[in-house]
Amino acid sequence: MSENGHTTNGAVKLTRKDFQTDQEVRWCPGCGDYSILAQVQKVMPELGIPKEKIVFISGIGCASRFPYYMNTYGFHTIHGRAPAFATGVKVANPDLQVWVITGDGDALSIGGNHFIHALRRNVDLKIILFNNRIYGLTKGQYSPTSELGKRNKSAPMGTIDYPINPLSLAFAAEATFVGRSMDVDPKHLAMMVERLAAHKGSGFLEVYQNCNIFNDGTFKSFNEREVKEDRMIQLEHNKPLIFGKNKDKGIRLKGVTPEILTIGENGITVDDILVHNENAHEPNLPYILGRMQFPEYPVPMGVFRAIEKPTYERMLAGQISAAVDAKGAGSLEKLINSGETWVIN
Amino acid sequence: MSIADKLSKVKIRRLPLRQPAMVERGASIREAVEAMKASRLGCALVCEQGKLVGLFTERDLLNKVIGESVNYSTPVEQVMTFGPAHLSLDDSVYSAMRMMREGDYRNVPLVDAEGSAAGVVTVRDLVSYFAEHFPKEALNLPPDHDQLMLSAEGA
Amino acid sequence: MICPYCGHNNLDGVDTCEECVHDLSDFDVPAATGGLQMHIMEDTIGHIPYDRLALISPSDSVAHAVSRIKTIGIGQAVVVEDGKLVGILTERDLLNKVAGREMDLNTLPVSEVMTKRPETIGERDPIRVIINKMAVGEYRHVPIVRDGRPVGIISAKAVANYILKHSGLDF
Repeated sequence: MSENGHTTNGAVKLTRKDFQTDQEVRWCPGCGDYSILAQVQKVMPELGIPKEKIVFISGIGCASRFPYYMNTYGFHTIHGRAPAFATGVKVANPDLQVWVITGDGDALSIGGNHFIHALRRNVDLKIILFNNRIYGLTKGQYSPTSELGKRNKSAPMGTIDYPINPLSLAFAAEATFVGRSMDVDPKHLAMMVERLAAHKGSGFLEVYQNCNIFNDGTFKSFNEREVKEDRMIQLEHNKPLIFGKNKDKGIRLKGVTPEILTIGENGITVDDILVHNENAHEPNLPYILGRMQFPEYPVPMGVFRAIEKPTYERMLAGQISAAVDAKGAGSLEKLINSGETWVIN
Repeated sequence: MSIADKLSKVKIRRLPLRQPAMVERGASIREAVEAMKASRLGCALVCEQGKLVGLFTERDLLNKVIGESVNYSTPVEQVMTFGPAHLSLDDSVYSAMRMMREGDYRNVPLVDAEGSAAGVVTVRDLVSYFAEHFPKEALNLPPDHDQLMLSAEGA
Repeated sequence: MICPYCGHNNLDGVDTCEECVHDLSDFDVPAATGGLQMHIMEDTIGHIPYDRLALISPSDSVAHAVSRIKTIGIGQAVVVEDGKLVGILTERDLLNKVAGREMDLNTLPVSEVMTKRPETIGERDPIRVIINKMAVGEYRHVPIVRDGRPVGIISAKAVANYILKHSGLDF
């Protein structure tokens, strides 16, 4: 991209304004969704992809209103089925960049099956899950990620459902890119959206998002500005897992259990600290990291896993062209009339 | 903790600082400009054996280089500020705000405990840090602020 | 959510208190409560002193724009056409697009290097909006417009100074 406002192919360089729409954004005042929308709109022009080559596909929920607010192609589909629509869109139009916007209920409850199979197939989809641990659109019932014991409208005495960990599910489904960020750290969020956009294959980004009406402050205990350095850990490829205000705490594995060490105590040095590797082929290490939760551990943020595998749509296109090479282009009419047909009088 | 407490107690090193642009004392203006572009910052720290000796900013570029008969291969030290005002990574956010206000600076270079150049804090870093304390009020706003809705309407 | 009228601990997001039936629907929405938070919610852009404007036109040469900027002693110029804002020319534009290149600044028009269609703000917008634009959008200078016409420009430095002034730190 040249610097006079034009891309090298002569197209006008887009700005974030080009990705905004004239639709009134109907989220509650103070909702974390606004922060995610702002960062996605900020990253889009940096990708250098024309607007007509981008599609946002969503299911049902507050998060799923997203396509209305993006000046790209969009598809507000049915509950939990966004990954299925998106798979179809990507396979039929491999040159499109396909995003899926979903929430904890849409992806993990109603659409649990579609979600894992889209990840397993390594379709080149960029899935962002807005996790607010509650059903916001329907006014405050517990979701698959709500904390055990959480009081809410559908569990006035507290939920007795054990929550699901979206990352564990993504690793189990062999997603080739898995990351996590949060609404209150715009810089980090923009970085993660960029990484997700650059990934080829099934990409999954969980975003901790505050629902200030029905589940206000659910992540506050660890992501507030003044405590986050001690209670969260930033994953960086090839770098030791160090955290804390004074950058003196680190993670080491004891067998398959992470333990927290203090650098400088008991002879512990930086060399004792586990080094993060997002490219490890087996998802074992990211799985262990993905299960670390506050208050036992700092909550990891960043890219857990980023590996390359042939994508579904490429392999499918390969099969089609191999079949055409071997048998010539087919004809649907011929196939239908190839036998076992009869005339009804 | 009140905002006043935070500003006076929180150390600059805890801000999400960006990688500073650093060049050696013998570098040309061109090298400094390239380093600034790469780091997406408006200034470059000019160092000698790791120690901060000068600061070259966008303002210097505007006032002393662009449109003047200065060649870009000129040593940057001829147009930089020698011995710029600076702070330590362990100074407070408040001290950075005050230094910027009193000196009318947009960038304050930072040194570590050994006195080596260690970073730069910009005025926008401070605004961003401040915004993080008010996610509902200042971070989570719609793209068109005229659309601010007054009630919790849901989706 | 604790009911401010009777102290009953309600479920999050209820519209009325389960105990005293007071309307609670307004309490979830961010509201001005006091201190700095109240200032950024209620004070408007007009409360922040803004920089003088160097006005230039898109067809002006960059050399002319630079001399205007230097004369006024600021760091950016606002580009107008028929009185309407069409762009801004900042030090960052000069760094990224002009510095170190073989260009004749006397013939290079401003329109080639300016930032087109910049973010803008109105005088009556609350201060939290400018904080949002600077923290989320990463802009350092945002022109203030009235009916599409620029009337001033607000810098991150002015916003930081405003925050400092209202932070309660005495100095």
